Amino acid sequence: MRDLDQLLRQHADDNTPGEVPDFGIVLERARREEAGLPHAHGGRGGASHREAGPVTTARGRRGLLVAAAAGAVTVGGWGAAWLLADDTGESPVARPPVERSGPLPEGGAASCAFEPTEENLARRAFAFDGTVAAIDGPAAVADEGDDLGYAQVTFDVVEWYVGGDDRQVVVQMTPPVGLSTDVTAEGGPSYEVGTRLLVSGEPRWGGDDPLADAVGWGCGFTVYWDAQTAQTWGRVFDG
Amino acid sequence: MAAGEEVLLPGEPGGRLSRDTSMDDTEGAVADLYRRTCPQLVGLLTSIGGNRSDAEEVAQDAFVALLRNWETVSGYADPAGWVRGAAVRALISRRRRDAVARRGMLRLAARGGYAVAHPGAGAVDLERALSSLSVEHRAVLFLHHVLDLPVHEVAAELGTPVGTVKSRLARARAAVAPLLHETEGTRDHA
Repeated sequence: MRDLDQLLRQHADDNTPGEVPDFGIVLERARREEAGLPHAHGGRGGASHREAGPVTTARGRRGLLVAAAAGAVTVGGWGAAWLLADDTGESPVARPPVERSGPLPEGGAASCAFEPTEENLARRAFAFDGTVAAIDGPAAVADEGDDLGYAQVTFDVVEWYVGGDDRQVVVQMTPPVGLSTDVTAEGGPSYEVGTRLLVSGEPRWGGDDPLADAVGWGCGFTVYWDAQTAQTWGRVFDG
Repeated sequence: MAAGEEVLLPGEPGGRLSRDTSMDDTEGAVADLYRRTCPQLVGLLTSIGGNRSDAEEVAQDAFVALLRNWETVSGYADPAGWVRGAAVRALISRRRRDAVARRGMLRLAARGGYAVAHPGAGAVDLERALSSLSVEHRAVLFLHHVLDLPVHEVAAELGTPVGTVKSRLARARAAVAPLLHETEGTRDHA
């Protein structure tokens, strides 16, 4: 009979490398992060950089922590990156939410398995009327076909139709899509902080908890709020 | 670096420090911790995440974070535990992004199921059993059984409620149960 601890420790030991890259690679990553440069993919990097010296700033007197706090854009950075500093390092200017209607655009990111009929909508594990409070995750998809992974979107819930009762909920969704090739243009992103949506979806792993790793479905199952559609959703989920 | 160029100590934003021993002390201390703990950390992360390359990147990023926060973390009882927690949380976030980005999710939905994998009666080895678990489940399994962390410490390290850790641990242990005979229960001691 094998002991679980022993089995798992052996597994971890088997995965423990005999050596790891020189500490210089950590300093290089720190330097690149400070400079807002993308990391070179792959954990091993190149030759040792220990001789490169300590981290210095490329711009002004900001350290790593201040640069992050000021919202400097880094490749793959979190938060609403499309709102953050441009090359001049100027502070971001928030746009007022643009009024839109209909299904949430996804830039072609998803292949749809279900039609957004009332029958299919009624089967969704969770559904609510909510306003985007925060977006964390990959930057906006500016070009159709880009696939940067899902964002973690926090909603202030106006009304639950099914599946929850908290005032806030975090849902994974396709990142905001730029409605023009320039996400700073007037069209702006498909959604942003302040956008009101009707959201429906499923727990990622199934099961009894509708909101366990909740994923907001596209393909017409998440739409811009309008009074008539909200009324329809209320009827669908009450029925 | 140009002569006279001032150097910032990581973790002290806006500060102006001349290049002095305090900067070297930080780097030296973090480098020492890196050399002592990084191999085991990479091994743990590889077991949890299933990918050596990701494990190395995540580990390196965790040490970059440690450089930023050394002034605070150096006062903790267990700086290595801080790095480990940061790395495991980052790995979980990375795996979540990877998983939900797969377009096949909707195709799975079309078959009436989701990304739930049950070990089934045919699970015959640990790798297969572990592959049936999410990264979150593997994380609690390894932190509890390999590092001997009690449930409440696993919860604190992952930023997850104790109840969630317990339920994930139960499911993870159920997945590997066919491979072994469990001889002890869940450790909840402080």
